[in-house]
Amino acid sequence: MKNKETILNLEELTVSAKNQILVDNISFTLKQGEIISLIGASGSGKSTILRSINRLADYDSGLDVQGKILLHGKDIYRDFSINQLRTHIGLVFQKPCIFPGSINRNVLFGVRHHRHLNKEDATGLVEDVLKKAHLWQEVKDRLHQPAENLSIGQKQRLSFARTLAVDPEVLMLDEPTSNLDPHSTNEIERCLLEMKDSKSIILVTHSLEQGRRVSDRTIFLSATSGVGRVIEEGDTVLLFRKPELEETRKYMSGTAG
Amino acid sequence: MRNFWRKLRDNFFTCYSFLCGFMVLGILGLGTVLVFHKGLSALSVSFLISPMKESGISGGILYQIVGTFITLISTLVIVLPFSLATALFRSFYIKSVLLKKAFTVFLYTLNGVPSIIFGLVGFVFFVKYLELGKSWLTGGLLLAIMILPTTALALSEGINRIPKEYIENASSLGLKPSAIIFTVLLPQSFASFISGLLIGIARAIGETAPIMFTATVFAGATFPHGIKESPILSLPYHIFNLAQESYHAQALQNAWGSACVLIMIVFVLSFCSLPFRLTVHQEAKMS
Repeated sequence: MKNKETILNLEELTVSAKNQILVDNISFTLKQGEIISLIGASGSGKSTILRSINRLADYDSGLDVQGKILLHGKDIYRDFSINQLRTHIGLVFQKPCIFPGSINRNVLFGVRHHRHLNKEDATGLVEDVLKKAHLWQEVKDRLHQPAENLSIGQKQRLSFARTLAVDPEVLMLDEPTSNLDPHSTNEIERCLLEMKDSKSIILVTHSLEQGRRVSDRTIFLSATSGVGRVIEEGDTVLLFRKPELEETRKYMSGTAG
Repeated sequence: MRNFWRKLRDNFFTCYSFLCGFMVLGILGLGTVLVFHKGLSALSVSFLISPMKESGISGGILYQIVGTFITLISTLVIVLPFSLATALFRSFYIKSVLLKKAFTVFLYTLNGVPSIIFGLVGFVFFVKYLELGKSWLTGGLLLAIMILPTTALALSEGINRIPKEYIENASSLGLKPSAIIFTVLLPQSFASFISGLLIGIARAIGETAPIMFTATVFAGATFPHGIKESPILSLPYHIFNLAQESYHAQALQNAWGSACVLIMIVFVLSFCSLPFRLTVHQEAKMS
């Protein structure tokens, strides 16, 4: 992993709202083909970090983002337009959001605003991303039926496929399996592992087991006095086997956070 | 004893609420029955398709209906883009809470301005200052300004009801604001918008005050021949004038007949808005 190219670099990211610091001095790098888990208690700023990287924080009035977020060494706030940035960095939310219309329309919802797709391209793309999201077998005969009729697990995989269709190089997932049954959770985890070679992934999760199963590196965050800070980070296997700090051990044993 | 007073108070408010509810229904019902009772006898095919004669004592209301529909369509065409822009400005573009509140107060205030004031201002500005003279376009413009708050607020509330997740998901996929407006906001608030539009139009169609100074004449007009100095006839102004001729039984009869036609148009518009209103209520319940 050491020789791989750095895709994303967070340098001393501090986010505050109305003089109240939400996340303080967060720094980490994401390399090509790496999966990082952000694990921490509620209020430790995991989602805020993702929203800052995707620049959704721009919409939250009164939110102030300090520090640097670099994508391939370029400042995401200075060197990218907001829409251009989001074609590079995709975000899958905790709660699946399905737009009115068919499954097909939902998959193509974002991508058709970025590039022209003829009918053949569109059909191929829909099949490709639905296969990657492990949803193809379940929906291939009803692509033109309303997506609203899918189960919540299928909806989440559809949201996932919709993000994949835009083909971002960095994929961020904000607790994507917190509302899902074990089958759907397993399917999403399999997708992530299969995509490792082509995508760099940041996964926010509450589940220690999920972090252990999926990620190469883990970052533990604390929420001391409502401020999110990094407690400890490192190689997932090593960190779970032998955390260095007492606070991490407490969180892992369930006695803190 | 305490229970007795509580029960009495509850019963009083229940009875009072029902009474007020039935009173509103009663007023609407009574008014409608009266108009239909007095007006139906004047209605005939020839009344609807012939032009007015002898200052409304005989003949029909063909050009009054034509003029009313011209006003209605021009109002609709003018109000559509303006209410879209106003609603988007209020719900999507204004980020400051204070500014949003101030803008909302402005819209409600505009909604409460008496229609005669619109008539006077329209007369001074459009008829005199812009030298448009009495014209169907002036009438359409004035009525559009008058119903703008109704239609814009309806659309704006529809947009506000859209869950934030839709906008965030669309944004996170890299959609530009214009794409979010056309693919998320407008399709999902369509029912609210159409409902507001039809209610606004139903209100505009019955207004006399704004158009009597600016758009309509009692007699002598047929189809508009241009934009400037091109007045029309209209049902509300026709009813207003015939009602003043109350010493003449036939004129009064025709006034009731015209009122009957006008109220039918309003009912049709309100009825058309019903499915959209039901959709809005359904969406509000689900959100």
